[in-house]
Amino acid sequence: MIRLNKELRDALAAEYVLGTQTLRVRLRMARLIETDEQLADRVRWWETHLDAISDSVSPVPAPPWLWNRIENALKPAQEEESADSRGWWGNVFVWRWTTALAGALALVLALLPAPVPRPDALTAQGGVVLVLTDEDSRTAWLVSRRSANDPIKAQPLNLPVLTEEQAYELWLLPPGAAPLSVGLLDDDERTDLTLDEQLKALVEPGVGMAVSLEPPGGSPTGAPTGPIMFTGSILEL
Amino acid sequence: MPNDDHATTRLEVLTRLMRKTARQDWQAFSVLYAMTSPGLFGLILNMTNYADASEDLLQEVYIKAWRRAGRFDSNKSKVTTWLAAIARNHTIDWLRSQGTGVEKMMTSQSPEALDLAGGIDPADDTEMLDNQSGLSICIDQLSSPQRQAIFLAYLKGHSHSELVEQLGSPLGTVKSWVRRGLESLRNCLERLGDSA
Repeated sequence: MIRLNKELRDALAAEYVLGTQTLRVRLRMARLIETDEQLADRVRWWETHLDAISDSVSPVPAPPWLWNRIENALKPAQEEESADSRGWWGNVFVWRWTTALAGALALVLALLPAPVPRPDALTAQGGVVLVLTDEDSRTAWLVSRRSANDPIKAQPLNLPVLTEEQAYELWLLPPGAAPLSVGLLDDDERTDLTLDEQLKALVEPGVGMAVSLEPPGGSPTGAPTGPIMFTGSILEL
Repeated sequence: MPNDDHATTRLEVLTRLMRKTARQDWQAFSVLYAMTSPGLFGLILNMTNYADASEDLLQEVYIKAWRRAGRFDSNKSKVTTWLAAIARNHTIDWLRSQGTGVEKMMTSQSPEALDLAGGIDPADDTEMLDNQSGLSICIDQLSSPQRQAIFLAYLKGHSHSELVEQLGSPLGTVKSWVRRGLESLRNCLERLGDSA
């Protein structure tokens, strides 16, 4: 086993992360990192500190079919691993939805700003996320909720321009029940919607949501009156 | 709307998705891909300037990420940092394995592919860093050649010998710029106590 002093370890880690080493050295480094925890720590230190340089590169959406290739490459093995416990998500609809979701979100979330850690929130319960897409699987809204007691946040993305006589209204679609209005959505900035206890209890994984086109002020009847523009299904976090 | 709040949500979502991916949750993995792939694809494309290869590399990066997800530790790394490291390492290894063949491919790339890559000019990159970050402060303290060598290496995946070609300086000089630049960065970052 090779013993590295502190200075050499740090220098090797830094140049490994920077990427200047030859392939032979890099492969050797990769093996060393697996067995030398101190070296691995230094590599992580440099990765963490140089990572901000990556922010200077503009995100580029990958071609939509690339996800299908990844799925095809991993799915056989993945199916073997979980053949006995696949459950609801073996459903074709869910796979289609997942694929659409992946392609759609790819256009979206890289635009969000750099994250700010808040570890306490990570343990909260009831976090959900979903994207609402049009009939051609184009992303229109990112909807998320950090925890059960937080508001629903709906971020519009590349929406069709509304006239003054139109408004977007968000609906929850509980199974076997009529759509319930969650609220009106702003079409050019994020809307935060605080749910009452009844609605809150219905926000569950797998439940659908939709956005309809309504007159200003929302549906006059309490049910969608205009066309359903976007739909999606809730994913638990 | 407050950007910090939105950013916090993004980090939380990514961390939770990563935990679920580690438990072989395919649906969570698909959302993780959707949220992070544009950033990684931009990074890879910027290094290769070659769309077809970048697509293959991105695919392989996410296959690795799926298989290694159980090793992710949110106490040690952010999801985006962890994924970017996999993407950069995989791409750099590929660049090295291709040798000069890649250089030929790069010169035959379509203008569209180069536009997609964003046309990074290392001389301007410090202005693109968050001015409040420790890295930005420390990068500013480097000499211009040190800064340029480090940005070129990091963003383009250049080896020492490729830096020699790009910067037109002898190998010993280039290696010195890189080594001393990294030493200065480390000393500066540790002095700032920015050891996250």
